[in-house]
Amino acid sequence: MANFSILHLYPETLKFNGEVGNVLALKERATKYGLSVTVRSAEISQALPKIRPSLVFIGSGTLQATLAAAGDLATKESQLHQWVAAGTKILAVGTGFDLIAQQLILLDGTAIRGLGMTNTTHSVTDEHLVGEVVISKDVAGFINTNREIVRGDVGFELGIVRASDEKKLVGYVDGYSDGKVWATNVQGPFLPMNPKFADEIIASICPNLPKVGSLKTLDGLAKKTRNAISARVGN
Amino acid sequence: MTPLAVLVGKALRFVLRLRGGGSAVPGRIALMIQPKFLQKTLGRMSKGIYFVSGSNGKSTTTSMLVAILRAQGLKVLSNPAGGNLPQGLASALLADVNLLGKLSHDIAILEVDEAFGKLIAKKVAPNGLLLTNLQFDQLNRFHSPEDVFEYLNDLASLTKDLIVVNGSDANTERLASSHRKRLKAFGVYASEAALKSAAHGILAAPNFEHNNDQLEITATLVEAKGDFAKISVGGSVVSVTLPSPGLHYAVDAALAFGMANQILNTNIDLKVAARAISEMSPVYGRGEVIEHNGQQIQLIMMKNLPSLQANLDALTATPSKVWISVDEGTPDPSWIYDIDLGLLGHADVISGTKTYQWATRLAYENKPYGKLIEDESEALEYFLSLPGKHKTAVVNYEQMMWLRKKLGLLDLEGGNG
Repeated sequence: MANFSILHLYPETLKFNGEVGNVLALKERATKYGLSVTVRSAEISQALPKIRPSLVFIGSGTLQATLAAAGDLATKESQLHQWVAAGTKILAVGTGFDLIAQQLILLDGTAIRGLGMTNTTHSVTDEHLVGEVVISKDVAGFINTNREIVRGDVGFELGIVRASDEKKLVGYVDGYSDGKVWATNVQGPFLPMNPKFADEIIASICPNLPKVGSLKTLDGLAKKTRNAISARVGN
Repeated sequence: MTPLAVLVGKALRFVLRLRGGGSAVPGRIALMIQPKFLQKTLGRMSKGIYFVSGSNGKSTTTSMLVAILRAQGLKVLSNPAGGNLPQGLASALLADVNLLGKLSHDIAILEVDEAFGKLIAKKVAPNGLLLTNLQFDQLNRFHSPEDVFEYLNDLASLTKDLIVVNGSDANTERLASSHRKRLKAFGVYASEAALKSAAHGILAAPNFEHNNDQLEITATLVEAKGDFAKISVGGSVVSVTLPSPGLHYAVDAALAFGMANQILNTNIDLKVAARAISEMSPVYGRGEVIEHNGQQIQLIMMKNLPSLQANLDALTATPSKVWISVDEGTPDPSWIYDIDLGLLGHADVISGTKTYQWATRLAYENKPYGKLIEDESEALEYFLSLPGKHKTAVVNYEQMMWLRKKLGLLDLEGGNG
């Protein structure tokens, strides 16, 4: 039985709006795929585990929580980069995306260095964009962000919002995905609602996943959730 | 202008209530006619105006404080839960003012919204402010508890004399500490034992700022168990029976005691106060049990993560028949993944626009769910048809309002009776 190990970074500090649902989805789905799943965690000031995990997950938090995590992350940066070079994948949701970016620029101009795992630079703005979004036929959710994201030459975007109840979110370029790192501002339980990404991440670690009938129920519910959002935002 | 505002407002209120609706419209109209309506009416209280705000527990704490003060002989004006925006408050006042816009009360105890409270405070600055807590709430509206901290801080800045806060909440404790030079600042603390009585404690938002200053104590929650609380005020301890079980209600009661103690200059009759709280009914929809055709339906409010978690923590047995119903009043229920479902082992029926979000959550937790019926009326019919007399409805605020009305409870929150 292949192993699938998840390291959840800062589960208490970066616990904003249901991000732990992503860990739950990965754990349940990987288990149903027949993998041996372990979930570990490391909080601020706690040491990273000695064994390299298959995936590191970073959730979202308030600005103060994110800054606290950023301070601690600097002490873990080297190890995390070594792990990624060795094959560990990264998933970041909400302000976790800030932490793995090039940098996060605060309203007063202070720049907080990120892990540099994406080609994005994030800035806090005065404007919050809040609304349900449809990104594609099989990607939907809820965005609540006050970040402006500037990208490098190659986009690596996860998707572009095509419908939302917040008009300013239509056309919003979300997230980052390069096969090693996934990040999104579709906050909270992104993977339970969009299981194709959960499977993409698991398959990037343990290829050739079998077809599993028991996932049909979960995927059916997720599809109906997305359809309900789609109906509400008029797409 | 005030008599005209009162006349028009009262007439509108009468007509709207005949039609079965209670709303902020009469108050809005009264404020349009007399923009100083709140100042003209509230500004004459001999014992002052006190605000109650915070993320959760405002309605219950306000009701408890009012009950205590009334039991001590004061004539208290309040805004029944929900009327905590300027127009809602004005609507509530219309029930009590005479045609000249005068009130006969000694003191006003007003629940105010975290964000809009300062709009009221700018019109009528409160003598005192009671803050229940700072928790995760309505992220779609408030964005972050750190933003709400600033709103509450603004409210404190507009307060004239006194601030009493939940001292066990590090954020509200810090907020009160920062106003100590200008205001008399007191804390209400819960003992370690009381905090441990609920699986997840008081569910305060995280605090990342440093604060070394414990506040002077005005009341302590010594013990909390089910619907029983032991509260210490000025060295004396009193036992209180709460309107509903749960640590959160025990904290609300301690806050009410703490504030009453300061308002009454420590001349509070604790036994009379305890009796007043013990005789209270649950505050509209909060831990309420609705009787309907021989069935008892317990309402569990999922206003936000802390409210649902606190209510689930207070459960002592696995509910046998469960209905979950959530609509667009909760635009983003992502936080249900942060909830420890505890004794909530299943759902018999899920309804509302967020039906499938809840079902997905339960499915990933391997908790069984029964029928998924988006239409709330159909779901209610099915729920009521299930065998059993004791049932549990997990509902958001809007569904709670809808359900109460559907089951024939026509009193309206904020409707002032």
